[in-house]
Amino acid sequence: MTHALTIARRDLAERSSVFIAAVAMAVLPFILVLVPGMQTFKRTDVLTTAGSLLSLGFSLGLALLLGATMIGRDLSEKRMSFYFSKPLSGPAIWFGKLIAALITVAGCFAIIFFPSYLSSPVSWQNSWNVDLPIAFSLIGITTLVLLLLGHVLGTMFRSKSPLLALDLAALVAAGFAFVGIVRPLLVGYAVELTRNVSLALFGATIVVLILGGAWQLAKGRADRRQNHVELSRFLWISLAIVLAIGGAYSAWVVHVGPGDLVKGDVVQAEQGSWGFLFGRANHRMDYHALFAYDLASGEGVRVDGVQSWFSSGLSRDGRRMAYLKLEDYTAGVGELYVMPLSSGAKAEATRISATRSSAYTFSDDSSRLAVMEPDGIVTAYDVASNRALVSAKLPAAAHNSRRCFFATPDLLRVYVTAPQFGSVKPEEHTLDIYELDVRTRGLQHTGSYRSVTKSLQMTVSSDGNRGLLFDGDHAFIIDARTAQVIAPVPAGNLMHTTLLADGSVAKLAANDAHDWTLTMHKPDGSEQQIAIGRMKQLHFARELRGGLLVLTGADQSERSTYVVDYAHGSVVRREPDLRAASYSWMQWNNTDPRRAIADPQQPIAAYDKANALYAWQPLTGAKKELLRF
Amino acid sequence: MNQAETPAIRIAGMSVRYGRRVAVDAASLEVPRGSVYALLGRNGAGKSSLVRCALGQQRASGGHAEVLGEDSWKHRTRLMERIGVVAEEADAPPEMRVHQLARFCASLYSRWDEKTFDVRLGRFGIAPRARFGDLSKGQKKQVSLALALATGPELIVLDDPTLGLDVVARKSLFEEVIADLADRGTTIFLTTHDLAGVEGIADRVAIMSGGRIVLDEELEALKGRFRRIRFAAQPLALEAASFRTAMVRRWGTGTEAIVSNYDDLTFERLRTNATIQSADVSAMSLEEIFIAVTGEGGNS
Amino acid sequence: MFDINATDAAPIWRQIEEGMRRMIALGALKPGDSVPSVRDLAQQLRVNPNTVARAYQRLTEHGVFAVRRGEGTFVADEPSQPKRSERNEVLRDASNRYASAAISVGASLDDAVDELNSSFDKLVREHRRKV
Repeated sequence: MTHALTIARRDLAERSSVFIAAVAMAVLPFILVLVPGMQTFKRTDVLTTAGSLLSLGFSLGLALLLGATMIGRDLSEKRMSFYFSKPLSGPAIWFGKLIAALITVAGCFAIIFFPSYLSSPVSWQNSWNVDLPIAFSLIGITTLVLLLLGHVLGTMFRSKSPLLALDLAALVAAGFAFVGIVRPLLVGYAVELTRNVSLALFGATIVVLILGGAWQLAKGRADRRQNHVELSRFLWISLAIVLAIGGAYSAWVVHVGPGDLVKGDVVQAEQGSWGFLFGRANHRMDYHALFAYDLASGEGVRVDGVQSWFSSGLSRDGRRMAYLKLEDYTAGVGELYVMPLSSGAKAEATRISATRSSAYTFSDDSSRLAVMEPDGIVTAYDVASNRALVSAKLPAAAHNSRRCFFATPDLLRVYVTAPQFGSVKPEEHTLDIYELDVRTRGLQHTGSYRSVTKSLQMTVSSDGNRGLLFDGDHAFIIDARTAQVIAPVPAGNLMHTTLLADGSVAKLAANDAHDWTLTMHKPDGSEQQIAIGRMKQLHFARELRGGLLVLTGADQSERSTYVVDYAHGSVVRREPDLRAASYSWMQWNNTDPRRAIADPQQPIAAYDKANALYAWQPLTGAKKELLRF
Repeated sequence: MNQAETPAIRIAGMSVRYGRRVAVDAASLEVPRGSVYALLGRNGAGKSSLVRCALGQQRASGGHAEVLGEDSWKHRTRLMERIGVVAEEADAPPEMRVHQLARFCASLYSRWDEKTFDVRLGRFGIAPRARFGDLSKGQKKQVSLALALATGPELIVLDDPTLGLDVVARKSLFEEVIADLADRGTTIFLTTHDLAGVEGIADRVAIMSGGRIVLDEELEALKGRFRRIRFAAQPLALEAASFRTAMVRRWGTGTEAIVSNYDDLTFERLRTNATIQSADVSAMSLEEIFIAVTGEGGNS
Repeated sequence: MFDINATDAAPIWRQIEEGMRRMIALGALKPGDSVPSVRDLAQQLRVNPNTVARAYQRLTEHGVFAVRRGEGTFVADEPSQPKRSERNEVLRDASNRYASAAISVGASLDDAVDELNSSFDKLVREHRRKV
């Protein structure tokens, strides 16, 4: 490689005019400060800004230019035979010229940059707010990339060969391949992993470009056309290998089973044993995977999509689920897919366009699907035919909390809560209730509630007739259709107050000693209290058919799950060490505001201290370990 | 085969194609060590393509070349250590000064004779500080030759060395080559269409026409067998006497025939038998032989 | 010293050999005189040194030249003349050509002989002048 240095030395000896130009540039900022108009600015600011911009611009432009000419010019002017008629290897010529080009650019950059920088390093640091080593590294890499890019473009264009068309096609193919590698990672929320993979691919490409120049000269020698042929050959084959490796890695990352999750959350459907399992995959950085998961069998079906931010996507009867398959990641737009929740099920496209911020829900018989968009448009579809049956625009559009459910398959009831943030006066908070009728194709405003505070929370009874409304320190039972207040109830929040199937309002409260009591305010006005137990935290998990209630609580030191028979007023089971996956959070997150009443025969997802997932039978207490995270 | 016996250059069935155009068509030749070998041909005959492939600067479409016993494509880098090349077009960077060129070459080769290089430069009257691009065409060739010779090569390859040179420069170039040949027994391989210049020094010539080697022979033998015969009247039945005529045409009131397998004895017998009075037999210059062989107009 | 005609039917080495012999015969080169080295003569005539070397070798073999080790090549003290048969061959060859050229322009034998005489004289005189 001493020959490479000889060539580098020789190349540098000829660049004196470039360095002189750099010196001229270095002087420019100091002249600039003397210009009359510049007196208004601080001298050091002008110096550091001008110096930095000039050094950057000059260097990057020089890099591109040198890249295109360091080999390209000798090649087209038929002077490469000067090197090849000497005992010089192709790689020696290439690396020699590359080193010389790098030194030239680095040298010119330093010449222009440092005088103005050194006039006030503090001022520079304040203006640019980036560490000098990091800035230099970035500029260095950009320079190298521009050099290599200039060389590739120079070689390919100067040869005047029709091969250029193939290169273009290969470039496009490589672009698609890159997207194909990175896309699945982004679907899995793996931003950091994507960044690392992209950086690795980028680094590999740079290596390929560097080695490509050496190969090109070794095989193409003094022939202009052959240089292009050899460069293209090396470039695209190597890139194909790199992308294939990337693709294999990406495929490995994506190929995840429920057992590969290192931390998983289960959202269980109201009925049945199926739900969503979502978690971070092991050994895959921040790659997450979504599964349709059967708690009874432990079977997981991979979902190639994401959930909406507002909907669980699970149908009420637990037989279907809907999810979003993204097409445009930056906009978060995609197509809705519907999948039956059974073993070996296949998802089907609906051709319904939706976004991450869409909210969607099924009718109880899974025959209808409602989609609500942030712009206020709500549409009801027929699931079997994917046809839109009716659509309307809700009057108060953006930033609203919107929920809906199908009171009947032909009637969609929509709840809209007015803006809850910003400097809006309390009187302007309202809950409006609409009904969208499939048969009449009309939107009817059926009710309205004006808030006295800014915080409105609401849940609807399982049968859809009554609602439980929290308005700050007040709470009411309201008519779920007209929003008319029926009766006041003790204040509370959704975690600790709920509507039961028999019409009671149940409330959990603890004393200072963390002894929890469940108080039931029955429809006939009577009150019943059930003592639960001592726990630091406790909240509602889910209600079971037959008058049963599952309560759960957990913190670092303890966890417990209780089964309460509220009809008979007793605690029938206490399961220590398990925390039930609670359905409660869905009450204010889920699109469907109705309370869930589950089948007591179905298992409930629960976690132990080690975060292992169990299928727990509330009636028998039997637990089956499903996954260790 | 020991080193002295392996040919300096051996080209076997070499073909060079540019797209559909065939520049060199299955050419084969051997350059014996220590000889002066001249490859003749018009512009576009394929000489330069052949030379480039022989030197490993370009990949041939078919066949291969061995130089100094080694494959010139595979081992070009180490072969160039022993070979001096004077290219047809001066390819040194124009901004480089002559002394910088010398220093550059000196650092690449294991042999570098600084003294003889300086002496030659002085003989040519070229200033070391002169920029290569500022030199005349002839001076550029002289510098290239001086650089090539200073590395003490076993083989010198000159691609059309006299192109664009005036008579004086041409003569001085050949003088340098001859001196080196006499001193060190270097093998010389040159291509040219300046036939008069090489006539004196070539041991062996090959003629390339339309990409093919149409002749490859020792110069002495070649000149020995070609004759121009002028007759006052109709020619003899030369063919009948087993003479191969390359060309027969009218010349003044008589005829002129070019014979390619002449020998004195056979011709004497023919002449006495056929009782022709006047037949003027003269030898032919290399240029005239070239024209006869290729059927192409001469040039220089 | 003398010129080489590349177009001549005789090969260059033969022309050099003949030229040297002619100069010795004319007295331009005397016995004991040094002759140019192969290198120098090759450069002067602009011919392949191998060709000159071949001529010199023949001349040395035929006793026309003598090589003194370390000193170079010289005309032999008693340069041998070509054998009668060789001489006749050369004469026959050249006279055939001359006779053929003369007949082709319609010259008589007398005219041809006259020309031959004057050429001979001229050559001897020219070379004498050079010496």
